[in-house]
Amino acid sequence: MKKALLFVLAIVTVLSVCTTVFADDLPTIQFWSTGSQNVQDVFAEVIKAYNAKEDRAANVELQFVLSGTGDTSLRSGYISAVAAGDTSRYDVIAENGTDFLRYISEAEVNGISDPESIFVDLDFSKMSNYPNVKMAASVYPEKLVPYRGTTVVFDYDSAKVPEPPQTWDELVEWMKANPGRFVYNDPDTGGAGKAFVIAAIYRQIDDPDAFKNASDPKYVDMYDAGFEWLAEIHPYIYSSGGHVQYAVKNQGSLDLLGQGEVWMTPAWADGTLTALENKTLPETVKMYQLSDLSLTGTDVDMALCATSQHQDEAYDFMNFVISPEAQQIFVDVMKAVPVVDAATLEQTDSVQAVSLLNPADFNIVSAGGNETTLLERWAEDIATLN
Amino acid sequence: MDDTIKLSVINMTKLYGNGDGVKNIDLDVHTGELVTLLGPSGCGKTTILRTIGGFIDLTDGDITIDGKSIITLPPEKRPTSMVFQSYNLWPHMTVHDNLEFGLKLRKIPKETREQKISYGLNLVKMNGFEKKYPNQMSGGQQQRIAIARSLILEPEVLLLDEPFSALDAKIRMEMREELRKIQTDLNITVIFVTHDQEEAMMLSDRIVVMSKGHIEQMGSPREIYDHPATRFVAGFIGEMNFLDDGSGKQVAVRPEHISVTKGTDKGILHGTVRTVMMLGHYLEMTLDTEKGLVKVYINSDQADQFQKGDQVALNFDHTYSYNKE
Amino acid sequence: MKTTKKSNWKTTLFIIGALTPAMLVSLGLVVYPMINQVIRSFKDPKSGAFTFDNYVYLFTNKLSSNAIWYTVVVSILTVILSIAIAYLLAMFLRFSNSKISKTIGNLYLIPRFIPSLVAVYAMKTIIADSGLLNRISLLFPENSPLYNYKPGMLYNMKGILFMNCWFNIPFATMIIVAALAGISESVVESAQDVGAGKLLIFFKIILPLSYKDVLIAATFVFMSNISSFTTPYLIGANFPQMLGVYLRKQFGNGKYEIAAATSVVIFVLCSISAIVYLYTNMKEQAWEEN
Repeated sequence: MKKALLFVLAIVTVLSVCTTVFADDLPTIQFWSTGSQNVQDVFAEVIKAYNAKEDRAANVELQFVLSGTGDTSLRSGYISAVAAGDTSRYDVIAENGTDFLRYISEAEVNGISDPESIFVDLDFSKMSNYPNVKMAASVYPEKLVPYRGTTVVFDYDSAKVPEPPQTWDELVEWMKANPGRFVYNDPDTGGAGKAFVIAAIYRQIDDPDAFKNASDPKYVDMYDAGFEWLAEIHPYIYSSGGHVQYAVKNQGSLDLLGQGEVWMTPAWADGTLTALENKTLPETVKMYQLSDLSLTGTDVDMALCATSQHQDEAYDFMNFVISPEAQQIFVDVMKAVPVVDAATLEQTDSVQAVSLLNPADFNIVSAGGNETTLLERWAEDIATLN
Repeated sequence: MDDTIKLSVINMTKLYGNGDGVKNIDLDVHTGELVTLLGPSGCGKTTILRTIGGFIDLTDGDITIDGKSIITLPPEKRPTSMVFQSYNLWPHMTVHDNLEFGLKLRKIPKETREQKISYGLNLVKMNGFEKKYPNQMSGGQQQRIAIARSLILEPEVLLLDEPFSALDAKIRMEMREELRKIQTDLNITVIFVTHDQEEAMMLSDRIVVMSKGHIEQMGSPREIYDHPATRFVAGFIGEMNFLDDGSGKQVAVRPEHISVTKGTDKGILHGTVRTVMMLGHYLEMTLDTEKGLVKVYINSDQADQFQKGDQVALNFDHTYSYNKE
Repeated sequence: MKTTKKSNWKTTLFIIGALTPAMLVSLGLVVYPMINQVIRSFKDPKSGAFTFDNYVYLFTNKLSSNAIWYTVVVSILTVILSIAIAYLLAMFLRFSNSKISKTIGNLYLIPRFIPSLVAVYAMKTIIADSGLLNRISLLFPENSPLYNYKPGMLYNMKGILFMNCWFNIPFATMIIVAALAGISESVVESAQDVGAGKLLIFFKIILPLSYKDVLIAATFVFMSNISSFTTPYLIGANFPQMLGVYLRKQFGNGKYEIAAATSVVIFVLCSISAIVYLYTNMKEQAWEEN
């Protein structure tokens, strides 16, 4: 027992000595993000590349919150840090553009006097690579630096569905003709399912601006038609053991598609491309959008925390993230849509695959504060059917 | 004790996976007889007892009680009852409930049960302990209850597996006497396993001496002591001096069969006194002889005659002869 | 006896002294946040005023009220199933000397060491409708009833119970094996000897001598399943959900007061079994005294 304890002590000491030896005079930047494993992997790569640079301004540490394990803890953690005046832990946060709306609204709920001030208004001139960025942040463009794009698409297995439906109405016909072969994931467990539900609901709202102003509270009262439609397709969703089952997490839908249990599902484009490369999806799986309404995409952005003590160094790191070198990593490792012109990158297979996805076609929608209502109503009205 | 045969072990063999076990055991036990299986640990005595009780299946042969084979019966169906070395009693039951458990299983009416329980407690002199739990009693008291519990079930054969070996010497002595008394009073058939030859001598009608899985000798304590059939029995039972006779054989002589005289003129063997020990009514002397150390017992009235270092001559009143091992 | 009594107060003082640091840490890390949660569960999210609304919502809302009873049912069934199987397994390990028993004795704890996430995903690949079992069944001739067998175990209570058994049987077996090891061979044999069959020996001897440890194992299994998350999240149905999954959803949607009330409900459910645990642990019967 004593020996084991000494051993552990020794290791701890060695480790702490190591960190002190390797730490130089540079300040440390705490970089926070959340998402699936592939997001964590890609940031690990990017940060490794940055920390290896001779002329870096800081050492960056990755703090990652894996989604599905407590993704809310990043948001509430940061807001309580702001409330408590804790300046030690948060420098840069990366999230889906529309998620930043929830940061601001939560800051307001928690009584922070100027909620928008939790993120700094940026001085874009401090980032030499910024002029190359072709994508704009969907919300708070003065506070957010887009670093990649991603969108939800429909995946289908062309071996089983040679002619996929082209419109939303055709999609319903197809589901009825092929019961159990379509699935979307519980919108509370992943963005792909959420994008499908948002599109399904907002397309039923008789207002041309509905998508643009999706977070306007007035639309909450107009969700009925959308939920009726979701209830209508419910019996034709994938079922297991005699009960309809919505997949859990984005990966859940991809698993079912890969196992051949379903033939069609909404999924993130980057997740699909990665799965195709890893052969966890058969190569007959293809991506597309319905012609009358695309599933939603999003810009994924970085924000500079008001609590950061090293803002200039943080600019240097963010500038690196949007550099061609880092953008190449995003495309190669996670099949992200780059924020710079794909033509300026090395033409790998990955770059060619993602250049088919045009960010200009992205249907960027944020239900903002309405999202909670929407998710709750889905849980109560749709999940409980059967 | 009478002449009818209660229990027969017929050409019984039990071999374990590692080759140990007992081979070709034949044994008849008469009604009311107390037979002791005696031998060093690992000799197979407990194996025989447990095959009779039904806790071990035999490899070959048969066991009968009153002429009927019992080997296909599980322990709970056999007309035997066993007392183990320790932890016999069920710790969560009172003495009363311990005694009652087996009676209940035999569907004996309540009133009769109570009679039998107080009869059993009376036998082992434990009246008044009905409400005690095993942990509230001494080891000796627990074994008395265990014996009572077996007795009131009126087994055809009572099996005792070193029941007193965990007890203090004084209690052990008392328990032996009591067991022997109860056994003769009730005329019950008992098989008793022990590694303690003194215990076997005290208790038994007959002793079965065992070694390495087979029977060395069977007989009354007297026969075994006076006429050890083998070199092993001679060495295991009582004290014995073994002296090489130079022709591959050994002469064996008990210490009490040696007479000692001072001087070196007479006697067939000579030596010097090494130690003299006073053991109550007799003395134990060890002598250095030309054939090695020899132990002798002499009457205590001769105590003054011998001193350490004295030259003595030895004569043997009675000897045995065995092949050298 | 008297000498041990005399030194009792010293022993007590020593125990208190030794436990104080742990008590302080748990006060800070457990009791304080717990009290915080309890207070929050009685607060109106907007005004912060005292209210029972969060609890009213919890017990009347379709999702949450279902989550509560579903969690209780799943936990109770898990306890019954895993304790029953663990008991049988423990008896086998304790009273059989066969090679199989020894092999199982060496292996049965392994599931304990597999991270729950890994185990759930691995099991999913076996029991999914297109999983290993299904693929094996495809090897049977097409007219056989086994052909294309779909276990139908995922996304319903069956799957959760199955997985819970996988996690809890090793633990329960470990506790019960330890309890059975304390029952001496001759205690069982002497019961056999006076005429008791296997069932009687179990109910009259083994069960009374081990029920306390069995209850302790049951309490722990119950408590860990009341608040379980990974298994129901990954292989549970969309509805009804277990409280752990529901709780996460409330946190995710920023409903901290409802989440606090949910935590309190989980805490109360666990306390009930903790009380059972403490009660059985403290009640010492005459035959157990030393």
